[in-house]
Amino acid sequence: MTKETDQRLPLDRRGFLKGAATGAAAMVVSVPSADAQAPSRAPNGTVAAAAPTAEQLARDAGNVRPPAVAGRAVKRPGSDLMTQVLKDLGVEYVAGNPGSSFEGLQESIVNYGDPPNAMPEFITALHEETSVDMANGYGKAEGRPMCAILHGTIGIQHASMATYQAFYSGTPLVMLAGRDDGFIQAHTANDMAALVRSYTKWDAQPTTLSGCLDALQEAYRQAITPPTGPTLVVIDMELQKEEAGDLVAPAYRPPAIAGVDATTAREIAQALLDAENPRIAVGRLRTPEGVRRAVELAELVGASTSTAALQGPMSFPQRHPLCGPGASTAYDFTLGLETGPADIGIVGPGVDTLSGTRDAMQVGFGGLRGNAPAGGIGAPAAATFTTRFDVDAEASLPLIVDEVQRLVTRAERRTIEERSARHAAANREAYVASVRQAVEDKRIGWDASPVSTARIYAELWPLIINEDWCLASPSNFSGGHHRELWEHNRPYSYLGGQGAAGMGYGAGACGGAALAAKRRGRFVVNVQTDGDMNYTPGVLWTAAHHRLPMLTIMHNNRAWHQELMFLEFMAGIRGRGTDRAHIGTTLRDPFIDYKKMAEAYGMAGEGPISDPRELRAALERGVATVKRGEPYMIDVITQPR
Amino acid sequence: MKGLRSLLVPPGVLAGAASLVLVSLVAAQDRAGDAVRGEQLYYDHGCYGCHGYNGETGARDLVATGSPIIADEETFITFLRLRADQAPLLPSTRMPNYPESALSDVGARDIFAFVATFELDAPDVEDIPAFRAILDSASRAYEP
Repeated sequence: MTKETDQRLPLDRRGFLKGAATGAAAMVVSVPSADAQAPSRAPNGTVAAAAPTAEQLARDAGNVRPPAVAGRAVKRPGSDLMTQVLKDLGVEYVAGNPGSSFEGLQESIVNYGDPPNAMPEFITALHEETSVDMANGYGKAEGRPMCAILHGTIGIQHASMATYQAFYSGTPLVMLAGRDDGFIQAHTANDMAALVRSYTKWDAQPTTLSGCLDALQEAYRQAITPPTGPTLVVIDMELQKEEAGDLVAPAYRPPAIAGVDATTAREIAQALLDAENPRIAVGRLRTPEGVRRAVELAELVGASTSTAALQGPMSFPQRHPLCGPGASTAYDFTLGLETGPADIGIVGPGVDTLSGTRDAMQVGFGGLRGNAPAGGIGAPAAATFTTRFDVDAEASLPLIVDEVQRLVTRAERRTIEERSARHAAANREAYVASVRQAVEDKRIGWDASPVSTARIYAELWPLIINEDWCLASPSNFSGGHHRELWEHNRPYSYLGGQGAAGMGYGAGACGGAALAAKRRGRFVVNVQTDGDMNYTPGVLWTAAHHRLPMLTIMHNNRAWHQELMFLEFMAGIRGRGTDRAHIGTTLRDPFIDYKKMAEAYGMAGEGPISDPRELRAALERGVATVKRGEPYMIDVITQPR
Repeated sequence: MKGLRSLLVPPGVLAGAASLVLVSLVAAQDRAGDAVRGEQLYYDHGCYGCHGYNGETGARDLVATGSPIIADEETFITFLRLRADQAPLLPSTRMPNYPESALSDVGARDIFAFVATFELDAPDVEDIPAFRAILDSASRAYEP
C-alpha cells in the first residue's frame, strides 16, 4: 500500500468526531446575535423576502447553540395534545422528512405517550412527495387516513405532485404543515395552504391550540367524508410549543355521511326482490365495511354483480360466486353502487364537485374537458342512470340491507337460493374460460429475452395465490396482466392507477401500502416501472429502515417507454425517421443498476435478470423475504411492454 | 385474388405510388438484406418499441398475429413507403412513416431480413408450470 493511499484512509470514529467538534465550535463562534429577520426593500419600493441571516443558516446547518434553560420550560406542550388527537383518531403513521417548523410536533410524536412513537409512529421519508404518496397508498388500501407532515412552503411544494394525484384518486389522507413565521421567511407564507388549495378538499390554519385540535379532527372528518380526499392543517410553531395547561383533547365525532332515506331504501329493496334477474353494479366504495355490505346485499337478493376490483380498491370480490355476468345477462333491474349504467344509481359526490369552492385561482384543474371521468384519469367514463341519487352508496347499504331482510318472503328466499346457484355455476364457467384464453394469449413471448411482462405476473401468481397480498403499483404501463391472471378478492387487492397519471408515484404508494400491510400480516407487490422509480428512489431506504414487506420487481425496459413510442410516432409522421427518438426518452448509456440502487439504500435484491428461466427462483426468494417482513428488489430486464 | 397490399391502402393509391417504390426496390434487388445489420437497425429505429425485441410482445406483436406486413420483403417495404406518401399527418395507426430519406431501401431490406428470422417460439400452455397452476386455481372454489 502506498503512502498516498494511506493518506486517503477514512478517519476513524474518534478522529471524525474530533474534526466535527472543531468545525462546529468554529461555526458557533461566528454565529451573530439573534436578530429578527427584517424584510428588505427592493429598488422599486416593494418589500421582498429577506435572505436568511447567518444565524438562521447556522441553525439550519445544526451549528447553533441552544439557549440555556434552567428547567423544563413547558410541562405539557401543545403538540402533545395534537399527538393525542391523532392517537384518538387511530392514525397509525405520520410520514415526513424533518423540518424545523414542526420540530415541536415531531418531538411529541417520538416521545409522548406510552409507548412513545406508536399510534402514530413517525415514518422517515426522504422526500415530501414520498410522504404523501405513502399516505395515498395507505389510504387506498385501508380506506382511512394516515398523515404526512410537511415543512412550510417548501415542503408543501415538494408534496404538491403527490397531493394532486391523491386528490384525483379521492384518497382520504391528512397533511400537516409546520409554519414558523419567525424563521426563514421564504419557508413561510400568510396562507400556505393556498399553494395546493385547488387540489385539496379542505384546509385550515388555526390560530389557537384549541382551534388546532378541532382542526385536526375536522381534517380527518373531511378526508373520509365524500368526496373523500386530501386535507391540510397548517400548524404554527408557537401552537406546538405553547403550554397547554388544563386543556384536554376534544372528543371526536364521526362524520354523518348522507345515504338514501328510508323510503328510497325500501323502494330499492323491493325492486331488487321483485326482479327476476337483478343486477348490482359495484364501483369503488369507501371502506372495507362498504365492500362487506355490498356482498351481504348481493347474497340476500341473489343478484349477479360487476366489480371494479380490477381497476382499483374497495370493490366487489372478483371470485365471489355472484360476481360475473351471471346465468343470464337479461337483467330486469340494475342497482348501481358508485357506478353504472343502472336503473337506480347511488353515486356519492366526487372531488370534481369541489372545484367551485376550492379552485379560487381558477386554475381549472381537471375541468378542461367536460367528460373527464370522476375517480381519476383512467377511471370508467361517466355512467348513465334512469334514476340517480347523489348520496354515498356505502352509507346507503345498511338501510337497504335492513329493508331487504324485512321484506323478503320465504318463497323469495327459495327463488334467490336457486338463482344464486345458477349464477355461481355460470360465473365459474365464464371465469375459467377467460383464464384459459388469457394463458393462451400470454404464452406468446414466454421464453423471450428480455423477459416478457406477462411472464412476471404469471410466474408470481402461483407463489402468492395462498398469501395475503396487495398489488399496490399501477399496472397500466406493464401490461396489466394481473387483471386476466390473478384473482382480486380483497378490498386492497389492487390499488389502481396514479390518479393523475403522473410519474413518481409507484414506489411511494407501495411503501404506504406496505405500512398498512406490515401490521396486518400481508405484503405488497410492486411491479415497478424504471422511469417512475427514479423520481423518488429514497423510498427504498424508507422501506429498508422500517422493515416494510414490499416486493419490488423492476419492469426495467430502460426507457420512459410510452414517450419513446410517442416520439417515434411524431418523428415518423414528419418523415424524419425514428433513429433519434431515443434521445430524452431512454435510460441508457449507462444503464441503471437497480440491484445496486437497492443495496445502496440497504435493501436486499438481485438482478439484473434477462434470462426468463432465472425469474421464478428469484421470485421465490423475493416472496420468502417479504413474508419475513423485509423488502426485496428484483431487477428484471423486460420487453418494452 | 386480391394481393396483401390491397388490404393496407385504399384502392387506386397503390398503383401509382407503388410503381415509384418498386423502381427503387428493383435497384436494390441485387443483394439480400443482412439480418445482422437489420437487428442493429431494428434497435436503432426503435422498432422494438411496439413489436418487442423478437416480434412476440409489445403493443403490436408481429409473429403470433401473422401480420401480413411481414409476409414478404416487397410488401414490407411498400408498407413503410406508402404510409409516408399517403398519410403523413393522419396515419391510420400509431406506426410511424418511413420515407426513403429516413430509412434507405438497403436499410429497410436489412430490417426485413432480421424480422424474417422471427418465429413463434412459445411453449404450449400445458408445458408451462405457472399456467397449469393458474388454471388449477381458476377452477377452485372461492374462499372469502
